[in-house]
Amino acid sequence: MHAGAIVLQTVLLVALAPLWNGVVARIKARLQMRRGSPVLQRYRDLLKLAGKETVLSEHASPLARVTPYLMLGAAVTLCTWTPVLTTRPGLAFAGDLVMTVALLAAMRVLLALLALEAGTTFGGMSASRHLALSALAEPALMMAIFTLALNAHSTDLARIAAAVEAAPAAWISPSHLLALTAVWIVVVSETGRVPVDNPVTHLELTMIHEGMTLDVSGHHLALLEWAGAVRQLVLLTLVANLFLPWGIADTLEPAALGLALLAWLGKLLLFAVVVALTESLTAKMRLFRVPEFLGMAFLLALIALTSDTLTRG
Amino acid sequence: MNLLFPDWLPRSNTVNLLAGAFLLSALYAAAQRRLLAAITAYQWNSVALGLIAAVVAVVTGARHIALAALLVFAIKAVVIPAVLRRQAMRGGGDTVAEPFMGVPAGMLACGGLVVLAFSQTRALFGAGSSILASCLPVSVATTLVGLFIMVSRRRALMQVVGLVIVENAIFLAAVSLTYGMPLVVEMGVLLDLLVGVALLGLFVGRIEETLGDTDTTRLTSLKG
Amino acid sequence: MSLTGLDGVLLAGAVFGLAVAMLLPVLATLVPSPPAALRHAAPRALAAGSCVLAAVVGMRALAGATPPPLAWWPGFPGQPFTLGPDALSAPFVMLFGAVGAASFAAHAPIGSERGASARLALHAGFALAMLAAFTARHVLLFLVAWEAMTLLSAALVAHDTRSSRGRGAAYVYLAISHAGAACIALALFTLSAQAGSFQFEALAATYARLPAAEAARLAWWFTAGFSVKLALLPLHVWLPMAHPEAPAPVSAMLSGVMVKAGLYGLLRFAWQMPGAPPAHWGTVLVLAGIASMIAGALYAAVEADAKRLLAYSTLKNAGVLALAVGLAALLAEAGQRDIAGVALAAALYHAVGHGFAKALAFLSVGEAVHAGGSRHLDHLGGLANRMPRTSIAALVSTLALCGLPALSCFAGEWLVFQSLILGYSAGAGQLRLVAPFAGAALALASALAVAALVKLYGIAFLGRPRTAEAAAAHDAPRVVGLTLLSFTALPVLWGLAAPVMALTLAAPLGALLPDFDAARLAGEAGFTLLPARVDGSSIAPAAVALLVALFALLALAWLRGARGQRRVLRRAPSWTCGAATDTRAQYTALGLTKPLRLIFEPVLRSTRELDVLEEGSPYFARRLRYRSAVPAVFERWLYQPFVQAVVWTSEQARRLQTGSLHLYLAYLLATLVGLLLWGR
Repeated sequence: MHAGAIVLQTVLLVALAPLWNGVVARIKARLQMRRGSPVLQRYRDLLKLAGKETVLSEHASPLARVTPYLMLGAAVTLCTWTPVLTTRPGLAFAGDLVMTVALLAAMRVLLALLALEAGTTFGGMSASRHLALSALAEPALMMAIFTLALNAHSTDLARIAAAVEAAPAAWISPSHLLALTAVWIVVVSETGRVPVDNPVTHLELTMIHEGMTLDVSGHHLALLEWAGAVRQLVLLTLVANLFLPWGIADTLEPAALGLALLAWLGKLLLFAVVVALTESLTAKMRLFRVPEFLGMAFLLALIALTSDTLTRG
Repeated sequence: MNLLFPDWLPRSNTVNLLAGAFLLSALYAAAQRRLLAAITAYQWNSVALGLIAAVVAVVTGARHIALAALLVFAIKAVVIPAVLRRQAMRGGGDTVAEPFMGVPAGMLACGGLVVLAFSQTRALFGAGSSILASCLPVSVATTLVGLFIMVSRRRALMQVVGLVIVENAIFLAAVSLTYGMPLVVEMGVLLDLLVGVALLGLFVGRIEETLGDTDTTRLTSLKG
Repeated sequence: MSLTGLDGVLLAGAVFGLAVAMLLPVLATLVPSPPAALRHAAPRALAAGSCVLAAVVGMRALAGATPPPLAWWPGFPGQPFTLGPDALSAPFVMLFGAVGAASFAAHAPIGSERGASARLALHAGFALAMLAAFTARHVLLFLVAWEAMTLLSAALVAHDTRSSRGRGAAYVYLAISHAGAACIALALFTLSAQAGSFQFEALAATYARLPAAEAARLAWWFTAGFSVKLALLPLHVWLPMAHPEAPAPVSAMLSGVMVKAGLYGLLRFAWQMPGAPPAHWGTVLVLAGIASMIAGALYAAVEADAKRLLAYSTLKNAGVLALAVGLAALLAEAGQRDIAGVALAAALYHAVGHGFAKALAFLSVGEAVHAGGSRHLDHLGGLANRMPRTSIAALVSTLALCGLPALSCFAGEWLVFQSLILGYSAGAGQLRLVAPFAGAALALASALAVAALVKLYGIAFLGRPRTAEAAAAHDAPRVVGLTLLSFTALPVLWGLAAPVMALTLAAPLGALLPDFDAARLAGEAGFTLLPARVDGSSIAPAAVALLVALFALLALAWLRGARGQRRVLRRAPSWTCGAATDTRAQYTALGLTKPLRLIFEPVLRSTRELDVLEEGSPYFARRLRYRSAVPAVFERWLYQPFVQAVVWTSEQARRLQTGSLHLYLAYLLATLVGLLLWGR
């Protein structure tokens, strides 16, 4: 592991996280025949928030002061071992697939607790929906990547990426595609995109993720938004580099890294287009249809796993 | 030895005679409707038992069996009947309580039990070779007869009589099979019996004071 | 009784200390006016100190210093009662010592004085019985200790004599535990009769030499008996009834340590003594574990009673333990002994880690329940601001139980996942079928448990107080608060130093799998946790915690320095669209997890009654009554029919009991006649 590579990957993920949201918003605006806000607008928003006065609810406990920092810390920690440009291990001795899912769960727990701090109805509503959907999404995510891990005989993310890249013919196998579909559904759910949740809604009764941050302001809100963006980008990177690792570098040569960077950015752009199209062409689901949606993801992941077992004998 | 058992009276015949007396006295007790007569029959039963024990003592020459025989005479033939008689007197005298089945039917049942006992004992334990060979079937038969007395009589004291007859029969079985038990056991058993009878007498008295008579069919109301 | 070496002295000290602590309150009642210190403070301190000694004994035994056992002459003639820790019981003794010390230190008197000293005496007796059960090496001593553990804890479960729920719970607990103890006693006595001795060494030698069929039969009896204590489905019904009713320090010991006694029994009598578990044992345990995990997590998620929620969480973790042990057995059977060692390490690590976290949870939630005046979550709220010390402990324990990475319940589950993956790759038939479902079940159960625990902390400690008592709550007394805070260090330490802690489990692992090298579980310098294979994956919880802290501090520094954020933040009322709302406008416990209840409705089959008591208009009623309940599935479909069959049979048999003396004597006569006729 090369310290420079690790720092590079981490910085890339952290720095580009808000940009992806900007790109998606811009594409959606164009689809709606509007000009849309600049792609760098999210950065300006975050900087503005970081300088604003932060107000806490009078009922909040001391935990509310610490949670936003912990969330950003956890999100950035995830970046240190996520394979972005290379299949050489990052800080892989510290974390693997299960640790990733556990850190995502930790972020979820902290966010739900933050939502309940203010003692309002909206916080409780969002927290309860969030918990219910995550209870279904996390197993599906775990199962889908488990399928890949079983093939790679390891839960180390870099090794999984290397194993999938080394066998291109397996990319179009049924279990791989099923797992990819399941993971995509989970990513849509976890990042709060249509059809699960509308990220630009202003109606409290329709909020899942937005409702949890109603009582957070100032630099706390900046930290939470950035942590959410980093988490989203990590998940998308995992989909890109674990399921479609074309172009990822095996070595640390600058040429290979440059190619990997282009490949990664291209895949992210592709995802942005897909998400924007989905958001523009479909409507948000009723809340109690979402469990069916996620249950389908779980089922697809389970089928992917067992078909792997059955075909291998 | 020859004084006690002349040649024309072999030892085994003596024992057989006494065993027969034992069984007959038990059957006599089963045939009685009056309590005092039953107690007297029990007394003869105990005497027969004591004599058998004495014969065993003479034959084997063991001292502890002689002591046991004396104890049998003292306690079972004297003390216990006295206790029972006193309790019978206190409790309304020699009243007659109807047994569940009439005397002829009862005797028929006892006869059946005796036949059953004799035949099965022979089948189970064989003929036996010692001079006390006849005692085992007799004791099994007497046990059954004693139980029958307990089952078929209403009055509590009659059931006590049945109980002590059963105890005699078991003692006879012990004597005939093992030529007597260790003295400690013997004395323990007798003490037990004495205390048991005394307690039973006490309880019968209390039942009579409380309920007015000792008809044990009225105890059904205590069902749990 | 011979005392050899330091460990012997320590163990004797622990045993006698607990015995004296048990007797002191009893003796104090004989004295006309005993000083208060003698009734409560002195026995409490003595018991806590004895538990610390026991913990030290356990730690020394883990480090490899196993002393020769203490021999007690009041045993059977010729065979004294022996007790002493050995490699397998060492982690359990350490867990017992730590949890016991905390629970005694937190056992402040509540309620009336007389009840308090009786409770303390029972608590000390219970602890003594548990220590004896873990360290016994003599069959009769083990059985007496096992029964005493059940009886004394049942007395504590029923300690609130006015509560019929407590009495009912104690009754069910006693009935099921006795059934389990009967199985254990049956198997132990069979084995002792064959071995001709009551000492465990002789039993082990005989057991290992028995033919396979008979040894398997004995192992299954042991499994049935110990599964009752480990609370595996469907023998678990006593757990959610009994654990909430006991006082909080006792619940901490019940959930934290006594459930692990079942695990200890399984490992010792069904694995270590016969050398290897019987065929299909692993599969049965895996299936029971999966079912327990999911049922426990699901019922915890829809529970509104704080202590019962924690009890269901214990059920879920008992399932995880069974899953790990079952996996280990399957792998060992398939010949993959190093991966089996990984699974066993997972079981032992998780047993201790969960014990710490659950004990801390019960202690802190118990304090909160006592301060807030009710066990029901909907009567609490806002306690974090009013009870700072307790809420820190509750937060750490809740996060630990959720399975957060650097705390005590994560590494065990990580090791289970590793053994699933490695075992799947190594490919033994049954394991390939079971592994995907086990992994899915573990992930689902963890997610549901997270929902339940977030509900527990969020509703009880965060937000606004929902009742006047909760608003008036004050923090725990100083001693209790200090105990909670210092005990908080244990789950954190066990989690952060997971690789080192896994290495310390080398001795018990060696007792079960002699050819397993536990040193391969940790990487260089004990910094990373490995699944015994160098080319696999690894985690370093301490590194992760450091990174998170590092990045958080970086963000803090940037915000303070570059953006000028102040340290003191302004407080303002919560945003509720500008209106001032009642505290009851917050989400209730059942409401928070209602989406989960609706999603799992086909499994839960909850009942719901809504009565309109007073109608205002067609659309808005003035008064409503709403009742919702999740039926107890196992009680209704499994236990009630069984109980009804037993009662029906007894009613029929009662017809023999007419009350007539003559009929009873006639039974005697008939029996004798029958014996004579059919004596041949």
